[in-house]
Amino acid sequence: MKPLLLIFLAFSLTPGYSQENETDRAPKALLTEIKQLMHHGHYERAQELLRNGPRNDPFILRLLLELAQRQGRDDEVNDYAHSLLDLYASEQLIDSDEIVQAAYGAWKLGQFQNSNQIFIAAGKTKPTTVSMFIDWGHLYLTKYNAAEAEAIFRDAIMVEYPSLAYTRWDMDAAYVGLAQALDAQFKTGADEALNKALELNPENLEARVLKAQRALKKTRWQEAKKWLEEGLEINPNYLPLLEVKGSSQFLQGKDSAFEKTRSKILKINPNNGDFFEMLGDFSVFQRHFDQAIDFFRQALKHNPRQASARASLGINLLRMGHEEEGAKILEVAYTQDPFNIWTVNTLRLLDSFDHFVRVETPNLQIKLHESEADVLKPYAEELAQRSLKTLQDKYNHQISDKYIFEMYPDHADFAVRTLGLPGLGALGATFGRIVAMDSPSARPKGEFHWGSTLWHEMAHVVTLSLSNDRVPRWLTEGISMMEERQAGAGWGEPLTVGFVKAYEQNALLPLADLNLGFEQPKNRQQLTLSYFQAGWVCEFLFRRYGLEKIRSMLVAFGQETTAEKVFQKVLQSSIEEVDEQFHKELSATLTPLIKRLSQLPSMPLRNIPMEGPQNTGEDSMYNLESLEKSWQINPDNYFLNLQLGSMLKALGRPQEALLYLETALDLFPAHADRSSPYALLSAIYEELSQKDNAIEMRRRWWQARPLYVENAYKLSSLLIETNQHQEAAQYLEEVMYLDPFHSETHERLGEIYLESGQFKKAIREFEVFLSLSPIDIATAHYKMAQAFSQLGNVESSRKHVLLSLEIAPGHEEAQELLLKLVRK
Amino acid sequence: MIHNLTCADTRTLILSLLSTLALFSSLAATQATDNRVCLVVTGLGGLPQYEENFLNWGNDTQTIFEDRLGSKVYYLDGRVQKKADILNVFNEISSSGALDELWFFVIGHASYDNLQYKFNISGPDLTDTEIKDFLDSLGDTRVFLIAATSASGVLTSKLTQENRVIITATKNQNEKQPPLFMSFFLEAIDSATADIDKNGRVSLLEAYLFSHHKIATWFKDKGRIQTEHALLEDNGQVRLGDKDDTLLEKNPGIAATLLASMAYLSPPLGSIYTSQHAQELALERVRIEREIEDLKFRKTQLSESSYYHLLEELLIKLATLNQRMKEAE
Repeated sequence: MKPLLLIFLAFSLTPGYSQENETDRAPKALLTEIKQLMHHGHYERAQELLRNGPRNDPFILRLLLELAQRQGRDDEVNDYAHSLLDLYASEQLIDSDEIVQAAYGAWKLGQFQNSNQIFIAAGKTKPTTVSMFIDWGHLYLTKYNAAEAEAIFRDAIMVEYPSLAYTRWDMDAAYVGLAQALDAQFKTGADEALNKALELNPENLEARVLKAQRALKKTRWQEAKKWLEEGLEINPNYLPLLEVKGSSQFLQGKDSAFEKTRSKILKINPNNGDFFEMLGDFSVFQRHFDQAIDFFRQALKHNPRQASARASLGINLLRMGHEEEGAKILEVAYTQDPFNIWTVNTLRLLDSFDHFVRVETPNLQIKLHESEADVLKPYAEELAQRSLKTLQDKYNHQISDKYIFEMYPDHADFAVRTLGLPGLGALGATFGRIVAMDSPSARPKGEFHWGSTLWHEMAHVVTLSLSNDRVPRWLTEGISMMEERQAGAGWGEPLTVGFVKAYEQNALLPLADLNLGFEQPKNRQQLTLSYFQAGWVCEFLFRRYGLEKIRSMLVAFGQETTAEKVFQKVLQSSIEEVDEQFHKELSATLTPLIKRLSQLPSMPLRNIPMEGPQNTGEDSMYNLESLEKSWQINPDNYFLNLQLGSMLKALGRPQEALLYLETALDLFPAHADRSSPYALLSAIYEELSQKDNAIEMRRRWWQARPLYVENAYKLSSLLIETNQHQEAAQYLEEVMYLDPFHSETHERLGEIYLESGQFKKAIREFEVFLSLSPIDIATAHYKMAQAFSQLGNVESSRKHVLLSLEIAPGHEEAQELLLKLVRK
Repeated sequence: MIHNLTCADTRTLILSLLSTLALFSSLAATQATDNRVCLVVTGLGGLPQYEENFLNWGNDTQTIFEDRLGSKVYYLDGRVQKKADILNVFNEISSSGALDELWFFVIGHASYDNLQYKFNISGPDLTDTEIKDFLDSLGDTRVFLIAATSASGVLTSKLTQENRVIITATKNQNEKQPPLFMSFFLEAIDSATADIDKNGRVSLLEAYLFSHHKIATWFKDKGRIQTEHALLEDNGQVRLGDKDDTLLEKNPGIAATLLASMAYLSPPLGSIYTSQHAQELALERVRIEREIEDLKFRKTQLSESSYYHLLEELLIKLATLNQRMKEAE
């Protein structure tokens, strides 16, 4: 009798529940009817039938719970959830799908681990149904584990179907879940899964919700509208559809329609925080962080238990530089939901901020990790300030707020700061009031010009500010790419063979769709191409219309909602017309290159050696012969010239190699990596002891691609050998944008500056040198003392000469300087 | 074995070492002509590039000790000479009578099997026990052992004792890659940068510090994980090279007291003062130099301003004295 008594007690707490038929299960027909009523938004009728249903039926309780949840009756949600758990505890839930309802109850009570354990128990009770996997998958989706959710939804699709018994979900829901999991991971296949869901169930509402959301992200308003209208025809009260509809209206600036939808949503569920969270998420997507913060606050006002909205509020406050408030809110969000990886990662990152040194400038707070701050500070501070000033002057726009500029030695921290998750492929990012980027320690040497990236990000600061954060992605990226290229010789991205090939294969996006190349790229290659294309489009706009028009476009984007209007207003042309002009110019530049860069069948690209061919035996001679034959037919082929030159060099025939390599250089000077004609020609001139030619070639190489430290070191050594110290110093200075941690570079620079009377720069270099814990500390201090002495700073000079003599009391030159200083 | 000195340890060490400082100062000045032997053993290379490195390093070491320092050098090529040959040389050295110094270079591959350190040569390997027995047989001879082999870190605990400096290329037996240590060690001998105290000569301590630094830089520049971390055990009392080792940084006076800082890899500078006055001034200079070292010992016990004030006074005296000495000559 004890179990029965327990059951009675459990259900006596359930509100509005008839005590009749307490031991019965509801018939499948009734449950299906109620499900259909709910599906079509007939909530009152569904409620009526549910209240008359058997009180201990887990499926009735589940539907009651869902209904209460849709209408924001949180207390009832809890009561039904508890009842489901009580049924489970009293072992009244027998088969798999019944047990799943208890798991659902635990989930809704926030008992996520317990819920997962009950799902596991349900999974062990055979037979399982597709419905079990769908609920389980959604638990994982809610708890930020889309990858696991994807696997569970894929398991659901494998289940034998249909089931004879009542189930909450059918196979179409498995495909929707799969689409949601893929969408959350930015994977392809979501649309196909949604199509399958709609094929299985043309009335599926959740599929339409996701279809509409995805269309909105691509600003395809009509497509979104179609899905929303179809869905709302099936269920005019379905909140997720109404939420997307309201978001669409908001994004299009349809204020009165938005207010109407908002009222309707709050009428159905006055405690609805989801709608405002969705608006916040869309605002983040558009990088309107202040607006997003406002929506997340509204979400929490309507539903203070909405931990995801709280986490988003905290993260976006941080993006706007409100560290203290953001951190406090994230702490609360963590206590509400410790599973949120964005919250956890961001809190961990915040903890690491204790190890960052902060440097204040008028417009920036620069944050550098303590382990590298001494080295980076002089260069990062100078470049950040210089770039910001240059760009503000250029665009005639002064930024009003202070920005936080952060450099991360650990790429994963940068990614967490940017996205909340590790795994970001970018080098830098600007969002809200934050400019974050990798520091040189985060990347392999010789692959990362952090100066160029910094300049790129500072251009975003100006363009975002000038457009009230409303500039489309292609334009802000394009301007940043253009500004990088204008910031220094060889900075930014050069033209690549890949881009010429993409042009040849018509793989570039039309200007009207270029934003998709950033926001929904089909693959990584399309993203890379889009960056480059956007940069060239901006350079075209600069040449054709001038910088003032680009500035006007930025201002106009801050006021207008569509690109078409902006193009018409500022350029008096449609996007398509401008795109046509751009393509004409592009064609004039790239068409001649297509032939020069064509791959001949006898010479696949992979045969191009990095450092000359490895095999110089008979095979090479045979290849050489065949290459020379090909060259007779195609003397203007870049790769043929490069390969021939490289092969002849390796065969010890440098004079002959020179001819081919010089030709290759003329044919495609943009190719400047370590296997390029620049590298090979520099080496040949050095082999031939033609020092002047070697210097000139290395200069040209550096100006084409200032990315390879070994080139700068070699060039500066050659210049020092020929007494051109000042020019040598220029290249060593630029090495700081690649590898500022190489102590010998600072030492050498310090010496050049000391010898040439540039004492402040000498002090800067020796200070950095000393921060790198060199061996010869005594000499460095002595040289600093010399520089300070030359500047008339006796006190600092005396300090450093003492530090030198402390290590090396017998250092005669330091002794002499000490006596000189004492006499002063 | 002392890893990190406490304050009390430091004071004890200071007292004991200061008392011997004068002795070693004179020793350092005369070591080139004294009874010193250098023993170089190179092992099997395995691969041609290693073999070439080991031989080159061995030959260079031999040249330095023979030609520059005028030492008697035994060079054993472990590809040819077997354990018995090496033990014979051990025996010959230990039975040759009182020896002031032994410089012992072990260059090559080695391993540790949880029982013994084994240096790879043709035939049976040379073990740590055999090396220990040899060193123990030398009595009061100061020993400078440079074990430029993989797994050599294990030797520090086995061989450390008073009157010995043990330098190992690796921090323990788990560092098994062929070390680059010897390459930088030899570079140090002719490097002005390695001459940290600017006295015109590179000491064993300076060569160790230079190599230690260069190895770290080499691996960092190549973007590789550092697979060797050299250690130095001095006189059974001080150990350098452990992770986060800041002993010399925090106690700058200690450096001058180490045996390794008084053992030089180049001959003494030829500053011979002819005039009586200059000779008297030279003695005065030694006294001031000792006072400076004494002050450096006490750095942690003084306020920063007092320390640098006193240091400046002494350094001015030293500088003035040097000027007078130049004038006197």
